[in-house]
Amino acid sequence: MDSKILAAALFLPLFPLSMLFSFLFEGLRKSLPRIIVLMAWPQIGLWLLQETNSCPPAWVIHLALATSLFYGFRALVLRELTHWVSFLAISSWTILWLVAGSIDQAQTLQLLALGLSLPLVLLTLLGSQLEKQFGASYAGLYNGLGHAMPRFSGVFVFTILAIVATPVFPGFTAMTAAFFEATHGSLISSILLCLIWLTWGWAGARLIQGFIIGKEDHEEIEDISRGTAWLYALILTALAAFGIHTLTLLS
Amino acid sequence: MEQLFLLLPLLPILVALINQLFAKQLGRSVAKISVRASFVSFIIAVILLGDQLAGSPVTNVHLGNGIGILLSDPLSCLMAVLITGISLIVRIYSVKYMAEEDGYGRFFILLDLMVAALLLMGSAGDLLTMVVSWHLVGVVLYFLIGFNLRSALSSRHAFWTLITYRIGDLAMMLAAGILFHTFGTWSLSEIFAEIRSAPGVHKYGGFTVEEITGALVAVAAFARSAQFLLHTWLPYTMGGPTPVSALMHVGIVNAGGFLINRFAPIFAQTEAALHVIFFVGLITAIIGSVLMLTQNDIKKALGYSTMGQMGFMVMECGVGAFSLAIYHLIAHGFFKGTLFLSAGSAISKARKHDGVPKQDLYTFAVERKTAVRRQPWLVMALITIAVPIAIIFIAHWLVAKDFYQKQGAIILLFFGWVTGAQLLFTTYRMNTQNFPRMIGTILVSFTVLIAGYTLIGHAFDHFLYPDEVFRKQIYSTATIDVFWFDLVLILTTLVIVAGWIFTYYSEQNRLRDNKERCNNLWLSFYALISREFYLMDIYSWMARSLLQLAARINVLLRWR
Repeated sequence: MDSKILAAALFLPLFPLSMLFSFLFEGLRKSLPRIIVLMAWPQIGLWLLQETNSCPPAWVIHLALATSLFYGFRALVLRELTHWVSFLAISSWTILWLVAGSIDQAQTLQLLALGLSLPLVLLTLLGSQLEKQFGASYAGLYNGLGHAMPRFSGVFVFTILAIVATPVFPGFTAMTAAFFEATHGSLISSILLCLIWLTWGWAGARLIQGFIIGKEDHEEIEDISRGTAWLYALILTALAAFGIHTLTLLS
Repeated sequence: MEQLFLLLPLLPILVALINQLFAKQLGRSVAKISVRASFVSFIIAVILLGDQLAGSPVTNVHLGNGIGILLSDPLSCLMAVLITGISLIVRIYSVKYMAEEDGYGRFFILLDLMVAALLLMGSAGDLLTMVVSWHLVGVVLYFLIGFNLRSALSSRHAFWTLITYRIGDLAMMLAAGILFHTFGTWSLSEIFAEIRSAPGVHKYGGFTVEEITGALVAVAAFARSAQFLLHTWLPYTMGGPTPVSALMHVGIVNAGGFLINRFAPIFAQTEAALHVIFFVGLITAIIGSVLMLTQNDIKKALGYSTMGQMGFMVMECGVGAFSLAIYHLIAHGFFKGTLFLSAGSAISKARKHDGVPKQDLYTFAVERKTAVRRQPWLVMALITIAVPIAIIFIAHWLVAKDFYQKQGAIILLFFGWVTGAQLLFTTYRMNTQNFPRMIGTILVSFTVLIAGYTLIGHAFDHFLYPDEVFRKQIYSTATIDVFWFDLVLILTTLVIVAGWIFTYYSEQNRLRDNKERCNNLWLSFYALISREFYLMDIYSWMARSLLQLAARINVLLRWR
């Protein structure tokens, strides 16, 4: 196998190399290095993929889809936010192997990868907020944030929606492009993509339930400031606008 | 008119945005703004429908810069009037109903977003807009059903809805992918034009593109319209706020019928898809109705009633009566919406006094007291079998003399006949002072219903599908071999008549010998339907098993 493809398989993580990424990411204790990794990792992978100047073999695409499904499926039972971010990062970045076939422009592809990473960055920041407040960012540990921290919850829900490829966020464009690429190939790839999307939605809904739903069982909790909420909202709006823009590129 | 058409989905989005941005300053005024904007939307929708009725041509309205296309045609305008009309009523109702709930503003913002998504779905003129709006309806519904953030149960039901809808979304996405891959365009008008000019030419996975995309669109419709095996979410979503339950019957749960109509040019070129749709609709109609009869919770019973109605609506599509399905979904939207909005006050009043007049109907239906003196059975048998069929045939013959040449019309007539005959059969033992008056009232009501249904169905057919050749093509696609059709119809008739004779006989003799055996059989059947065929248990077990498997793999791989 081409050494560049092998290297790309580490940065657009294919199983079992994905375990290395997961190990590295969860080993990082601070938010900043995690954010840098989330932003840079898929970009390096895409750069390596473009350097090969050839389409990856079909089995690599199949392995990418299988890896995505594997991590999406495993994310269903995750409660710890860093774990969840790590698994969803692997699951969504591996889709780029397929998307690379349908989007020729390298710049668009890199922007799309950025669109996949940014919501994960936001969730990492939200997780660090929870860690400061409660000592851990763990679903089910403290219920009812929907009422206790309404601003935080609003941003949290929209961030999860962006990660699980809800229209009109960039993840949706990536998934749409992947679907169109898959329909050129085998029906199995299309079915795998369906299952991947299903697991993302399921995992996202479980996370929302774990954090937002329930009776608040804590006293005074400090919500994020109005300014911070506005900043998050602006980034999410920009992401949605970018998602719409990339959708028009597909058509 | 194009600007007005664009304004239709944009207005609720704008209102939701304003209400969110100025939530603190507006306070409870968010409801007023939402209601007023909703009224404006309704007026716009009525103007657009009037324009279509006046004979305006079908137009593609571009959203600008290739973002998407809206299709201004009779179907989209009709759906817009339905959605804006009922959502206006729902919002007016919600102003007071939701007044004491936490998240009053959030509720109206979600309602506005839902209406925007529904309007976008109803008028989508390209595959991307259709997929996006179809998907968003499910997402917004998730938050509306789980509106009460403190209720884990509501959240669980919202989750089931989301997952079921996601199955439909994915089928829709696959269909869109295959159509785009085949025809190289997103525009529905262009795709349909190509299919009309060269049907059955393109293949995908060994099937014609029409057949495979027809099947996928049907799956999307089944998930949305709670067809059997994908229905478990519907009765449980009734735990959400009552206005949401009412809104669900406007363009959400009945969107399956709309979708099949929107993709009618594809279904007209299929071979098996419409037969499968008929079969699934039939099974759903029967099971939904049976499950409805066993419920003791009024909202859950209404939920199963909706399932039965949706089954009938899908079945109508399966026999080629596409426009009749649209009439059905509109009529159902109005009457079920009314029932939901009055369910709360009915329960409240019933707690003080049930309000049911102790009349003939009550003593017969509730207290099960039958008449001592019965009517001559031969006369009643003749009335039961002959009169409904005569009424139905005359009503249809008046609007279309060749109706009996369409199998779809015959099947619907058959259902009409069974319903009418069953009604008469049930009432023949009713204790009443004036029997001829009662029978006369039933027959007049039945005639009005059948004549109304036939005339309006006929009008819808001409409004939605003005091309007569296309109308005939849909009916011919839904047609099966005459021998098998006649055989199935005769056998079904025999089974139903045998059922009536058996019921009559058993009532007469009270099944003295087999009472105990019948009771056991009945109890087993009742247990089965009271547990809703154990489907929810099976699905829960499957979900739990998958989660356990994921956890085991995670442990095995040390969470890496």
